[in-house]
Amino acid sequence: MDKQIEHILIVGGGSAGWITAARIASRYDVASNAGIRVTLIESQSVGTVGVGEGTWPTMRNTLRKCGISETEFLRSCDATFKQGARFNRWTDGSSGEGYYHPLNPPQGSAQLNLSGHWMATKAAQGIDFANAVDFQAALCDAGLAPKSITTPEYGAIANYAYHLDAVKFAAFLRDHCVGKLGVRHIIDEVTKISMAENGDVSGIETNANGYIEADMFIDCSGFASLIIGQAYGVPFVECHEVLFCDSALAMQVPYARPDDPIATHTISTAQSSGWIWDIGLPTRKGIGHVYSSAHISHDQAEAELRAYIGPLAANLSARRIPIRSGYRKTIWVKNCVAVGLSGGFLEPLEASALMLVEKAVDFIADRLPRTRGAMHILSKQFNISFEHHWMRIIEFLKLHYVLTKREDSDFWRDNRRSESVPDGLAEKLELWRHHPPSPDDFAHANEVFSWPSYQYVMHGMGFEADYRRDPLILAEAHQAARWFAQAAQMTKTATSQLPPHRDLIDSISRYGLQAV
Amino acid sequence: MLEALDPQRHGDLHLKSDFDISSVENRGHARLGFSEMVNAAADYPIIFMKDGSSGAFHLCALFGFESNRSLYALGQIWHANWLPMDITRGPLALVQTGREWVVGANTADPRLSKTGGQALYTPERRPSSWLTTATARLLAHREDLAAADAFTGALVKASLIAPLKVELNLSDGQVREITGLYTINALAIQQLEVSLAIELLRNGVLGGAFNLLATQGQFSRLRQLFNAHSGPDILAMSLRVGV
Repeated sequence: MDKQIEHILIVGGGSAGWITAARIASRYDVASNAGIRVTLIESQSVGTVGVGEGTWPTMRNTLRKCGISETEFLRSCDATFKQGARFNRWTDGSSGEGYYHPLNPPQGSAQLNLSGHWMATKAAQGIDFANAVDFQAALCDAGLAPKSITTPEYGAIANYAYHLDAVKFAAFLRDHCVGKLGVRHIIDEVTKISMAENGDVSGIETNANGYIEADMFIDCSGFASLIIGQAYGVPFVECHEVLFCDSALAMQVPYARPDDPIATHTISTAQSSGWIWDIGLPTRKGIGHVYSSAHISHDQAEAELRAYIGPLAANLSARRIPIRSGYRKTIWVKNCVAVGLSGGFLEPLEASALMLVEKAVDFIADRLPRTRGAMHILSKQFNISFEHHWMRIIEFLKLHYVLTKREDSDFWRDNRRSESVPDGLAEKLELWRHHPPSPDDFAHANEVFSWPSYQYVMHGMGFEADYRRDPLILAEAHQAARWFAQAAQMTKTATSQLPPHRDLIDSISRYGLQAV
Repeated sequence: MLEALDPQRHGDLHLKSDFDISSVENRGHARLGFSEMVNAAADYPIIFMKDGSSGAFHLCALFGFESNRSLYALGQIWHANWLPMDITRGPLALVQTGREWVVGANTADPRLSKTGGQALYTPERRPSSWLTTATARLLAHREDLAAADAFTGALVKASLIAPLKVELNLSDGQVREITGLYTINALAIQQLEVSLAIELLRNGVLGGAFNLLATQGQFSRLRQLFNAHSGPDILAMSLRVGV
């Protein structure tokens, strides 16, 4: 008889390990259901890498599914609301230029495509795409929150994700998993991965807890990739030829004044050979420089980072993090699946790291193989899907670089070289010179970056295209005008009613949000 | 502006304490103390609304479907038998000064003047007997509001509060959806763990909950009053809980 899956062993803590544990334990009610057991083993000596302090809006659903109160999460993880990203100096490098990639899709995007209509009307009036089609960019500009204190937990007026302290997040999830969800937590060193004759992982050897058997293993061991990378030797697909950044320098920067406004979006500012992220938490900012060491020395990169931060950086030290961009060719092998950094990593330009963890865990938790036999088919589906996601994310990240008109360094010129542009992206860009991005350009049902994201970046960066002669422009003009008017009306209403971001964070800290 | 009353500065103030409909016709609701539920139930739908600064639920009597208009004010008459303390207190309210609560007033309110109505202070600048009684009522009301908050808190803790959406189909073809109202989810009461249900029954929370639920019938009264005012009529009204 086919073996039932009863014991799931997660190797590695950190955000990936604990999100995985929480979702599975919550989905299968492990605390009161003897049918499934979840164990997480993590090493005391391996710290949390803290991949990105930004999430996607999907995190709201993930937390809710884990039975977590948003108020508790916000308070415990020093979290704030994130409504998208602003990309400064990416297009021509001048100090005033920039654009938003908000989390709200354009108004009316389910009914019609506003790209051509924007070109025909609003662009000529000097209104940028993000501000013409939706109200969220205006909220970001004004530093206003995406909801108010009367909006229930996880409810939104404008779509939002979070900025958070990744170390506190992992600790918060750990306490929730162990205290409420029935996850067994072991702190120990993994000394050996034991394989069965059929190639499955049969168990792990540990220093203090001996041999631990399980039916399914989740490799959340970070860059070490203990099982998928080391035990199975799954090759790593490098994408260094496409995305050149290979290093990051990170700093935790206090606010000049404790009540300084908190930005409600990630600020991404292009530099000579990379870009700087700037994320606002309640008590500090997370600021870091992602760069290509082939184009700039580490010392020069640190100097650019310090220049960006200004005098506040004087007594702070920067932590250097190597970036190896790419992914494991296969991330579910036999009875083991890699989640998080063990499966791959890309520069945090669009905060995709935690989103990919959630996406993997959604699949695993919702379609947990009932038996070992079912695993083969599910893993095949999973691997096809994830290879697709990795390739599409790489294309979308490259889009930010390929559309630049910067001429100030080899980094930007090299990024435009056609041999560095993935074929899929080059093909789409050719099409989009004449046709706006559309849902039909994205075959996958659950595409991570779909056409609205491309619209925001392309129009934000002045992609050279002209859709004004599209016959639909005349036919849909009335409808488009209505959506533009709605966006303008919502901008007026939202900016007059929503509170400053810091005020809301303070109110939540004091009163909490209601569940309904 | 709400300020603490001071015999030196406000010693000559008088308050017109008679009911003045113009002071309440622009109120969409009034906050209730726990003990007021019984009387309010005879006239108004009782619901919860969120406080704009803290997001906390407040127990309220609903006067209409707009935040600044009471349907009960019609033809210079208030069409109900009983008024909540939140209305009858007029411009008086308690004000915190340090740790102490003292009586204060919205001194810009037109019901306060130097002539006519109840004197707030004696010629010797001591609180009048009228003000002493009014202050005692305000203090009792404060405790009653705290009891309402405790009632609401127990319901929140037991996950019994749910959004109430009211949809109005009007005779001019408009469909209006009223949001921001909350009530008790009766189905959730039925699904309570027995031990929690007993606890809530014994501490009076379930009794209050059933009182509140019974006032949903008063939405028909709101509909009746709405139609008695000029403008389009409500042809159909639906209440949905937990949506």
